[in-house]
Amino acid sequence: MSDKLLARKGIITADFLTDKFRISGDVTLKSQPFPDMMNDKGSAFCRIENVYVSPIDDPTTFRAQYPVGQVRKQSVIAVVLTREEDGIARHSMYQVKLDAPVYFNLYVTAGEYEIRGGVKIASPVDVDNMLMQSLDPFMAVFRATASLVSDPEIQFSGGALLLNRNYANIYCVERVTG
Amino acid sequence: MAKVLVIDDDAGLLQMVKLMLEREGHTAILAQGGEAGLLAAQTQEPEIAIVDLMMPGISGYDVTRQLRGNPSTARIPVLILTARSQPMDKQMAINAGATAFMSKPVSSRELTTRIAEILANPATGANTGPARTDAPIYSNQPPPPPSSGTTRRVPIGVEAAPAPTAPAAPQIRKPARQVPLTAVLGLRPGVGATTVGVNLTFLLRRTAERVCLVDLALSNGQVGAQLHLAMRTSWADLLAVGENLDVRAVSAVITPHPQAGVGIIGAPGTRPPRPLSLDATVQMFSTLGSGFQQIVADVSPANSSLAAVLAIAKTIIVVVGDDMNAAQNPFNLPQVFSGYGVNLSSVRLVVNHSQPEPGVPLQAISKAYNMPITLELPYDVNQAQAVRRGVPAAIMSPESPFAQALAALIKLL
Repeated sequence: MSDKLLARKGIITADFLTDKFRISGDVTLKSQPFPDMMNDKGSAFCRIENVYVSPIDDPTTFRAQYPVGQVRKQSVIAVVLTREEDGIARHSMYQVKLDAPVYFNLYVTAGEYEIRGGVKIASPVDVDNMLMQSLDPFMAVFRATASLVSDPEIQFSGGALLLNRNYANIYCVERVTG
Repeated sequence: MAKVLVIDDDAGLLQMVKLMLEREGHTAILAQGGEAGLLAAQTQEPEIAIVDLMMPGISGYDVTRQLRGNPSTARIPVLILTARSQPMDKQMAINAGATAFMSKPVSSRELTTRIAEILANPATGANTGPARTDAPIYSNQPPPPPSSGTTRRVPIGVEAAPAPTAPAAPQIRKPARQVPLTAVLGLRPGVGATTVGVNLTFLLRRTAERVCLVDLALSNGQVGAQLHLAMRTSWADLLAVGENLDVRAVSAVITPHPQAGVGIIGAPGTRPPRPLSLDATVQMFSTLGSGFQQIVADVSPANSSLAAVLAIAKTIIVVVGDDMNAAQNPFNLPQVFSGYGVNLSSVRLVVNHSQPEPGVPLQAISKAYNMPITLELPYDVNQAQAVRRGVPAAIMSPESPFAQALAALIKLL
């Protein structure tokens, strides 16, 4: 039997976390990976379909449901994605293939969230500069967990998490050895 | 081969699942949306239902609850297949009565294997979640291996999915002697279970010399915060000890409250790699029972130690709020507790009014949880000040209606 993936090609489901809401929905990827869509400065909004909105402190209750919505990118603190590969930007795809990646554990506080996860980069560049000087607002954190500060039992985990740097208070990194 | 009902609002996905199932020799019944699914469940007599969570109109949670609530469909195993795949979604689905949970995207092999497992043994179909980061990445550890989709790993907080009919109680070795344990369980975050647990403990201290409070939150428990105590140790420190939790090991994790003389076992600051095992949890409380006259456990449904606590507790206080969620997202408490092998006579349902405005009528709450309400805790204006001062409100204002109600609860117990 073939092991075909039960997923619609070019569509990913994402959890957009804002200060007050969890917005779940499907995003249709056109010509670019999802991180590139989020970092595309030509558009302030991201179109999502099958939109479900929950309060962040009660994230399993559906408060609203609409077929289509436009989420304002600037208001999003983090986007949680199930699969790691959906968090890889186009430029990173080439880098990761070329060199053995270097892993760092990352801890970030951003808005209402504490975020823990890992970053992998292609070569031994200065990771601090990578975190702080990039012009892209959204950066990928892999195998990440975002927990709500006011209720740490509420956690969002994913293969990848796109963090909006504009909300970050502090980055703590530590190189993973071994 | 089985008759499989697939309920999803996405027509394209329905067709994909149908092809997968038919390739395996199953018969697929497709229903686009929750209402169509419920109708098909009653008329087509499927052997299993695959249900999406995010559907317009009736959500997958509601579909599952309605299937469970109808005697003609209550026995159909429900496999939740959803892109909303966070641990709390899984827990909510299980609470609604789902048999198993899988996250999209899922491979055809994983899906058909899972269906076969459930059909082979519907009563013990363990819940499987996505093999993802349930625990944070710790220092000096490489990132975990890539996700392999769904596995037979049991996620934190779910020991086993409640079966449609009579779920088997977890195998727990009860201590020889009854432990004087009162478990305080909040079914949702923010209903005030910790506040009830803390106040109850301090009121018990008035009549008992040796009282202990255990915060079984998986991380950042609120007990220390409410009492302004710096918790340097926690129950997670017992993970390194193993199963032999003797007096010496357990004493080492107790923080004494300097004024009240109450012993407190706090929750860890960050989520530990795993919760205490069921045996270790029983052992810890059994050891505490040899030294303390009263023990209160503030237990989170997310902690799988819950099963052990419920099995040995003398009394279980279930704290619910009075907001719309209390009435709209029902838990069938008798069904849930019978799954844990709990004698219902030890369970008390307490409604905590955490807002000054009147909430949902008590009748509606009682109906939603399918249990009589033992007690109402009135809104207490002193709560905010109590938290600021680090003193339980019932101690700060012992004449307040809140303190009086809690004292009445202690008498009832």
